[in-house]
Amino acid sequence: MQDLIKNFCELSSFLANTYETECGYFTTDREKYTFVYDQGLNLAALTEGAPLIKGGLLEKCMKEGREVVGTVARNVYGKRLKLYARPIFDENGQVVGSYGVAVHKLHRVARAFEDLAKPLAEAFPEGAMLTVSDLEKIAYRQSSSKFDIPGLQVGTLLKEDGIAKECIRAQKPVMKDIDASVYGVATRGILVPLFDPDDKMIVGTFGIYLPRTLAFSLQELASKLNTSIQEIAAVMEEVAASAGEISSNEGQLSERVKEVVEISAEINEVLDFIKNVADQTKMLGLNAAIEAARAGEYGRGFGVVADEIRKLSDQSKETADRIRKLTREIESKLQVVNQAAEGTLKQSQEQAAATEEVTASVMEMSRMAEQLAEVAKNL
Amino acid sequence: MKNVQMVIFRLSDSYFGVDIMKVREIMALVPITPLPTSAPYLLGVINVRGKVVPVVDLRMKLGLPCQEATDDSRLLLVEKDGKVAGLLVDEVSEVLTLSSDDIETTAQMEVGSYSESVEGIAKLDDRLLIFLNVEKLI
Repeated sequence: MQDLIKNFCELSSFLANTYETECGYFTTDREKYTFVYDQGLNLAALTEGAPLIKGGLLEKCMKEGREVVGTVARNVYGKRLKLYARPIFDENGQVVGSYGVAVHKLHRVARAFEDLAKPLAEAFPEGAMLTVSDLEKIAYRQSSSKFDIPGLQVGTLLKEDGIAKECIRAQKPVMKDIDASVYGVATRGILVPLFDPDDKMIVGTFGIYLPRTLAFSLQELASKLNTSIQEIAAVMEEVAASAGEISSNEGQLSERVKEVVEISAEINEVLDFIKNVADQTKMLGLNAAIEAARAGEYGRGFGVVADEIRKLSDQSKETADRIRKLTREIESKLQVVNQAAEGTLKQSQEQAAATEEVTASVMEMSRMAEQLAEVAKNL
Repeated sequence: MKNVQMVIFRLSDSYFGVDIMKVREIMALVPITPLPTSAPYLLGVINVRGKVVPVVDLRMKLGLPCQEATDDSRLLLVEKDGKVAGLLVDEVSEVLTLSSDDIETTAQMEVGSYSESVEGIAKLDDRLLIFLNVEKLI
């Protein structure tokens, strides 16, 4: 076994070259790495003398005395690794260590990214921004000559409420229109999750960000237009409602006016009665005066009474006439009010008709705006 | 200087007066039963508490233009020798006491158009009252 291990270490530099990705050849005793040939891994925990991970794959390999192949998560050594290990036996058949290879487990997409990303980004007519991320930050990015998102650099932490985290949580492709306030320019982000081919765990995302300048503006415009139109429509409804109120108030006013006119007519009837009484009283007074005159001396006192009666009736008549004049004035004033009310009613009716026309036009515009928004969405 | 009490009434726009002693009663207008008669100013008769009283259109009698009766029209019941007649007038306004000094008799004036029944003219404030002699009217 010793020779095997010796050859293994000697061959490691030659064999490591055959790997297209970063890797490391190693041997361990029961506690620590005893030999490491590192090709690009640069992991502090995977160096000669570094202790083995408690309960890790290598311990398992040595405990169970058999070959072990497994994936080590990124947070253990700092990179996602695929580990291949075999135990080292001594002459007595006891496990004294392990030997194997650690390979950087890079997703196919990430591996191809450097070659494909640039031509792909330039292929988009308005330019594009491509990214690959792990579960926490941007790992790779490629901008185009026409479009770049300066806020997304290698190492930029993924925002908790951002589209990448959303994709990671959903573990499904996500497409989202992103407001200009996020990256400085309106974009559409299309992200797909990347899974480990062995254990099917999500390891990161691959994203394309497209600028949404023209289409986005159009969509926003259409949406704003729609909102404005709806507001106008709401105001028109209020105007129509208030016109309706005026109309019903007019109706009530007209009722009140009618009532007053009726009362006025009743007053006139009463006045007629009073006038009648006054006339008869006067006649009574005159006749009393006549009788008084005929009664001569004895009738003189009665004559005075008769005079007073006549005065009373004259006053009554005078007052009745004044009242009649006043009620006539009231009636004529009510006429004026009625006419004015009719005029207002006509105006508000015209207003209501105009409002309906405007509302119809606004509805038309609203439909057009909706259509516009649809078109913009599909751009 | 004698004081005369007069009942003042109106025909058209002119005011007339008759001696109150000659007046029996003042009445509102009631329906008149027409009589076939030669005198056009005799409108007909009415029933006053059982008595039949003839009614005279005083305007016509005095030659004044005819007018429709109004709500203010009255019947002046006057008396001569126990006989009663009703004079249709436009309005009975008041009872006045005048002194004979206020009355200028026709003897003192130019003769007017209805001289027979006019006994005199009385001045009162800015009004002129034509003092009629009832005896001559009926």
